[in-house]
Amino acid sequence: MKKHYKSFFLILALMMVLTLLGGCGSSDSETKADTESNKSSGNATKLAVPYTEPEPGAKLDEDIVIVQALDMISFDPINTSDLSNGYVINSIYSKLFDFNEDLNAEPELVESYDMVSDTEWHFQIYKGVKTHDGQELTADDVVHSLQRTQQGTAIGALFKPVKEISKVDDYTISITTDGPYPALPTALTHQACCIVPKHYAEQTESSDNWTKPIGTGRYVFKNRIIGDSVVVERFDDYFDQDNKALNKSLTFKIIPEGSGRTIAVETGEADINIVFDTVDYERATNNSKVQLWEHYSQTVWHLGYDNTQKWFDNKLVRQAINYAVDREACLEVGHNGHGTVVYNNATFAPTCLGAIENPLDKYSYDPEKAKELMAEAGCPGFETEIIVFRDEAERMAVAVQAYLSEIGIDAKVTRIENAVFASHIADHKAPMFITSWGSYWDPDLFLARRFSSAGIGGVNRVWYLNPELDKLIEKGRSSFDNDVRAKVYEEVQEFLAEEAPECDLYVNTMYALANKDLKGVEINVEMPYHFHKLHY
Amino acid sequence: MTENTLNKKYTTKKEFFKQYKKKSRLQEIWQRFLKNKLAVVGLVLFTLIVLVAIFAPLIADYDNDAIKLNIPKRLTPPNSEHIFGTDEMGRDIFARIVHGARISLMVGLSSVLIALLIGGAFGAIAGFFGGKIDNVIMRSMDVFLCLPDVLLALAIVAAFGTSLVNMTIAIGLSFTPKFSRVVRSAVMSVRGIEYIEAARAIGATNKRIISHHVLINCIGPIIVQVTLYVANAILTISALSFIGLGIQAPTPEWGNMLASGRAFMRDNAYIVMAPGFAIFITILSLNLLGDGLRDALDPRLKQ
Amino acid sequence: MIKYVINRLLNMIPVIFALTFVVFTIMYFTPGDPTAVILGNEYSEEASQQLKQELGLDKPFLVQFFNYVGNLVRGDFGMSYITRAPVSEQLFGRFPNTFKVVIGAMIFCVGLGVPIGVFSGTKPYSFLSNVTMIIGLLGVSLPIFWLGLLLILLFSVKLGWLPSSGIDGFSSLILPSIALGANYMANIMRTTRSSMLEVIRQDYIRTAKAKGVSSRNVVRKHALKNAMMPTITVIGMNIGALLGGVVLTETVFSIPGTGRLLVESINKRDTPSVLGCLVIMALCVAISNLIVDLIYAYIDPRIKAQYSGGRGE
Repeated sequence: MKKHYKSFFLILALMMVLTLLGGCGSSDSETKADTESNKSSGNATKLAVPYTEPEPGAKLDEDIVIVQALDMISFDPINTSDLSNGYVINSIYSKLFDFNEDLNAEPELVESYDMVSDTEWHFQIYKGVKTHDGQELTADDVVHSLQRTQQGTAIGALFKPVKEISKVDDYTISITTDGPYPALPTALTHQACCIVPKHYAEQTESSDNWTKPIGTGRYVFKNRIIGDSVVVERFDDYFDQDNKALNKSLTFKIIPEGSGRTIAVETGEADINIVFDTVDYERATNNSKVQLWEHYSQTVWHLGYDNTQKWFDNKLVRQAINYAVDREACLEVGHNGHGTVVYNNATFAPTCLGAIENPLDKYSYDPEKAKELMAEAGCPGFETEIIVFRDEAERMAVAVQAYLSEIGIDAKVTRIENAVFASHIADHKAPMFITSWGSYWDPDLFLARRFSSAGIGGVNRVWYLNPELDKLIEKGRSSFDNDVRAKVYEEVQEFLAEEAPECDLYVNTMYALANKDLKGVEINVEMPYHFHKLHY
Repeated sequence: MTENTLNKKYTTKKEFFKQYKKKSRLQEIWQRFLKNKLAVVGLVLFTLIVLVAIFAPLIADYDNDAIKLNIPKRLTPPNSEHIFGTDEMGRDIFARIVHGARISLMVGLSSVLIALLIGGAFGAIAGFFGGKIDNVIMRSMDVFLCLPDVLLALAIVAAFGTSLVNMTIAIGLSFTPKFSRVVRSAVMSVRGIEYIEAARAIGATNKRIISHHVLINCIGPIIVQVTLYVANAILTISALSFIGLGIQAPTPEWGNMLASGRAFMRDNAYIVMAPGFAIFITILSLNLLGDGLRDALDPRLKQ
Repeated sequence: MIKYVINRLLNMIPVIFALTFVVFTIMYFTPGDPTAVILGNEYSEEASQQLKQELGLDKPFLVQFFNYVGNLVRGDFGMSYITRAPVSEQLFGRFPNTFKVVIGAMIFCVGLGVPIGVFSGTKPYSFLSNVTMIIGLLGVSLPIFWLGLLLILLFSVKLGWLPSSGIDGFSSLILPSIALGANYMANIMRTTRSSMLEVIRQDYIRTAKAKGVSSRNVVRKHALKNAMMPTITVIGMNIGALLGGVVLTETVFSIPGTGRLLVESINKRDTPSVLGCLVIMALCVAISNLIVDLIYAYIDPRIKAQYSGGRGE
């Protein structure tokens, strides 16, 4: 032993030097100073616009690998409104209406529809729509499926105005609403409205086994490894032969680490990353083997809190929180600055109907004002918990934790799995939480769900109930004139700015990182979608 | 007459006989230890780390540097102001490492203490009394050998939550079976020695024999194991924090610093260097120390 | 010999049983209501009561435990609270990945550690020997997860030679195996070296050399077998540690194996899944300990003699 100590020190010193060098080295090669020049040269991001026709000579039989961050939860469409579930659900099942770039409705199963009266809609579906096990889809299936959706909680308030769903004839269904509901077609684009063939739904009801789903969508379920991947294959008997899948199969692979997903596309292991972590923005725009696609979004990241719990039931405390948090910093930490800060409390994205940038010009980053409000509320400070289930949210939570501690709120950051988020909310076990919400252009589609009794057990995660707000929501729905509705929604935002049931932070830019040669990449205001159009 | 094999010249008888004066065992051990350069390095390093942990608030301000966010300054590489750079929230990594040392050492030392007290008690009883008692105790400890300590700690944390106290108890409990074995074998090796018989002969009670004679002679190998297990405990708390089931943000802990910095390591490699290196050096110093103690306490075990 | 095997197998059973009891007890005291987790959105008092009856959660502790063990023996690990699918589906689906990583690490450990240890043991003061001593010292102190991150930084990010995650193909196993095995390789290296050194100094080696047997043969025929014993012991002891470390390796390299399943289940509060993972891992450790014991018995003639009536060497 004595003889080796010299060489021991040598090697130890070598290790130290190497690690320090290794640390400095890689950050030198991509200093912040280069950012500006890289944005113009190199590989600029492309705007993902709706795709039309494949070129001649395109390869339409490829197996496409898509990486995402979270595992899907269930093959039952009404189980959850989680996006990570949606990717797979939307591939296997069809809906009456599909959503487009702005999340508005476009007919899918519906061949034609008309409004018999202000409150009665008739929808005619295509004839000859085949299910994956060879049967024909009829109005019976649609009615059964939508009735299931109505009884479930995932869609909750979206269907509140819906009174009755019934069959008119074998290919026509009728939906009656309580009052005018202009947003009905858009409501039907929700993934919980996916049509599950009646015979399959009945079978699963008795066995509670959803492991081999049958639908009518562009893809048939092939197999699934829980926690790892789901594979779906093109359904050749898809009813709309002009719009069937341009690839042979889709594999949704789960890689929880942001950089891991980017690396998967860089190495060719995956064809597209639909949950791009902006940490790799510089890398992605400098790598000629990949293409970064972008789109403006309506996904609002927000800090929510349980309005029924002690101190959060005090308006002044809620307002104080809205002043205490630095939204720019949250954007920086969560998405490296790729997005736009919003000062809102009603989950309105800047592109929503009637959106105001800073209602009442009320909020800004003002810790002093926050402390004043806390004192005014007589709040000496308290302990609480911030629940998160995604990496970006976790980072933001650590930042928010620091801001809250300045005004006396001692928050613990707890990370859980997305599958149990809903039950945490239901149990009042999420006094504060950070997550995102993809807002529709039409506020009617989320206001009731998020801020009224119809959303309890659904997405009213802040447990906010206020009859005055309910009245305003009714008013906003009552007209078909968008200008009139916009005025109402401005009132809503101002009302909620005062009430502060939640603290909206920012909207982040939507990105998808794909192989350079991959065509057909489409992103809407909430997420990349239309994977059936991906091809080479 | 004693054979003079020495080259030294002595002027007085006193000097001459001094060399034969029996050094206390402790001094012998200490001198042997000092000769082992690597062991000394281990001791010095570990002492340094302990000092850093004790004087952490003097070295780096907790609230301002380790905890407070500084978003505009996030992800800056090592420079003159921040020797290890800043992390993804703009916090000074050096300050966080210094305060992280406190937590790691605290958990490491207290969990081993728990293991020592509980496991040591069981082991001493088993080793001393032997026979059926030994069998029963050792069989029950054997059960735990099938479960790696990390997993046992994980199970306890899973059930009872991730507070600092829970973590310490969980890690302590997961080391208890191994510790009881160590103490048991140390006790058993000492059990047969003559002075125990002698003590018994003069009527010392079992209790006194255990506490006074047996334990004193067992201390050697036990101390070695303690050192090595403290290293293991620090590793375990870092590992648990790394997978998210240990010390929670914003408290700085080397493991959770690695976990949160990981997402950024592709372009900011330095963010995972310092915390990992801190864990490495701490464990290395403890291993060197343990090895050195083992060699010093029983030179026969050396190569 | 057979008697020995049977003896050890029988010994294993009560140990596993007791371990299952311990783990079950720990998980039993998890605070929180599992029915809330399972029912999620559809939670209500009556639904909760009904579910508790269905799952047998209202029965006394011991009854629950024996039910669990009874099912376990038949291969039924219960239903996951979260996915509502049998736990065994996920467990056994993901286990092969863990297995691959552990085997890879073992191959790395033994394949590299033993030869280097033997070599540096036979030539104790050479340069290589010094280097291995140092690598041994350093290797034992490297945390698995840090080593994993460093390996990814060097081989994936900087050099782009090897994949940094997933489990497709052989190349994706290399880095995880090295990360997981490094600690134990260092251990094995040191043990082999020191036991080799000790054996080399024995009289019978000197005799063989005096008789003119070449160095190489000395090592191979005489020294190796005897030097291997402590090494095998260390290998055996380390298997448990490998299974503990695989949780970390799977997290760093995003490998969908049992280790990561354990962590995910803990986060999801999915108790049956957590239990299942722990039991499976304990079983693995027990079985591999058994195998090591058997190899030990095969090599060590003294144990053979005990059981075959003294006909051994």
